[in-house]
Amino acid sequence: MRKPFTIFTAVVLLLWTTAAAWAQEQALVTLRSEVLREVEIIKEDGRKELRLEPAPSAMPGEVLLFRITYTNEGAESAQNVQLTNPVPEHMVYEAGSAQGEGTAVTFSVDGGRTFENQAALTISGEDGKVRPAGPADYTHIRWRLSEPIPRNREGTVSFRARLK
Amino acid sequence: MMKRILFFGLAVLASWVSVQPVWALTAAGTVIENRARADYVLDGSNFTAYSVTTQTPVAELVDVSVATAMGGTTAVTAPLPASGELLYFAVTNAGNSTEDFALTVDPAVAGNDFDPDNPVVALDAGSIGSFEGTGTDSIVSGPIPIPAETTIYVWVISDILDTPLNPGDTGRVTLEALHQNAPISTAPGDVYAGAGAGGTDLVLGASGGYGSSTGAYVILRTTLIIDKTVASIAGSVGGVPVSDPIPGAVITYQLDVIVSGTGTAFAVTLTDPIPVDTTYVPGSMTLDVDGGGPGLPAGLTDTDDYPADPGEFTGTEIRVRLGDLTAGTQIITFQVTID
Repeated sequence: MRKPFTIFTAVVLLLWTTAAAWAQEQALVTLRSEVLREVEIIKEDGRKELRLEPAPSAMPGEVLLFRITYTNEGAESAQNVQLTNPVPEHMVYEAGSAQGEGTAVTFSVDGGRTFENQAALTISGEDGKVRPAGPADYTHIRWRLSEPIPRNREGTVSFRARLK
Repeated sequence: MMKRILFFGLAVLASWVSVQPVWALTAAGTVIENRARADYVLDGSNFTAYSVTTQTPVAELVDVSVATAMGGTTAVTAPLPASGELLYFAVTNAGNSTEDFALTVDPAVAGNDFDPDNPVVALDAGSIGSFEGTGTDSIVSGPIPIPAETTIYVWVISDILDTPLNPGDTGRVTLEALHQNAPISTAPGDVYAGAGAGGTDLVLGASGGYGSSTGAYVILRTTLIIDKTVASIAGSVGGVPVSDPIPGAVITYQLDVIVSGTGTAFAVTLTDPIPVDTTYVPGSMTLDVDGGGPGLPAGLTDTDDYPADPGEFTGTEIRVRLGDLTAGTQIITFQVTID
């Protein structure tokens, strides 16, 4: 009795897996992650302009901009999209720097297990007392897109962090 | 309204403090990795996508500072020519990697009275802040490595020649630290691609990889002269005052202790024996303070109750402990009776 049941289960699993892989191929949201720095350019007319350039290396104390570009390369809209990025190791999130059009931003202070609005975040200090969390406590940033991503559409979110 | 403005001011200050934390610098060659994640729903199924992981190596930041320590000025009180006169400096590698720095001394600083001779640099390797001879605090030759975010202390040891020099003359030396790991350059912000730890970029910080600080030797010499005079002789013959040194006459001696020059004469004690064939007049010691000698009371007692009172009559001599004296004159008087 057991053997046919097992085979049946395996077949179903195989079909499900194949379907999922097929769907992913058809409806792909891709992410591109860039590490940028702001460079001050003096233009011909003498005016200064800030330009973003790729950062091949980083200096202690430097603020880097992390930009994530999402693209829906699939045939249909992607729904309930949320983008998550850790604050990289050795870096500290710059207060108020998370940007993203049409997104609601939340943060995690527990390694990405839970996310809250900035004002609701608390952390236990070394003395065991609970205190409001600050930007230096953030471990992850999450952007929840308020609208689905239509096909062939791309957008960006970003944040800044300072290298210790 | 005032309250609100004040509160706002405090809030701004607090936030400024919080964005200026003191971090240990991330070590050169560390790779900063980042990977973004997307979760989304399609046709009722959940999907997850990741970006590729970006890798950003941490550049090697070269930064150094030099500062005089323990005041930066050494009083040269030894007779000239003097040798082994010390100045103390702190050299800080403010970068994020161990760096080799060449430490050199420039004794030819413009605008001073003399050039300290034959200066050398010695590493304060023993007990910090005390010189234990060049056997322990050995002389530095060639570049020395300083770990990241670490301060080392060094002595500059100079000879002072008598060219001749006067009290107050000043001779300066400048200690310079120059990084050795990059091509010669001292321009802040210069980037040397691939020249840093683990092949990362080497970047010159605000110091440009060069630091310097100037310390000074000041010649301090004081002269102390004691000028002893007989201020008066008061005798009496048959009730008529006379100023002859006859038996029973009272002699008032005056001792002028004159300190001149720069600096301090330390722990000055004046003693004067009572002349033979005379007897000290009890309680006759006086002190007239003129500059210097802080805290000395004018009236002196014969008992040994220093430091409350610096005077003492030992039975054979008077003794006045004047302490540390700068330029000025102290006048001490005492009386004896001719036997």
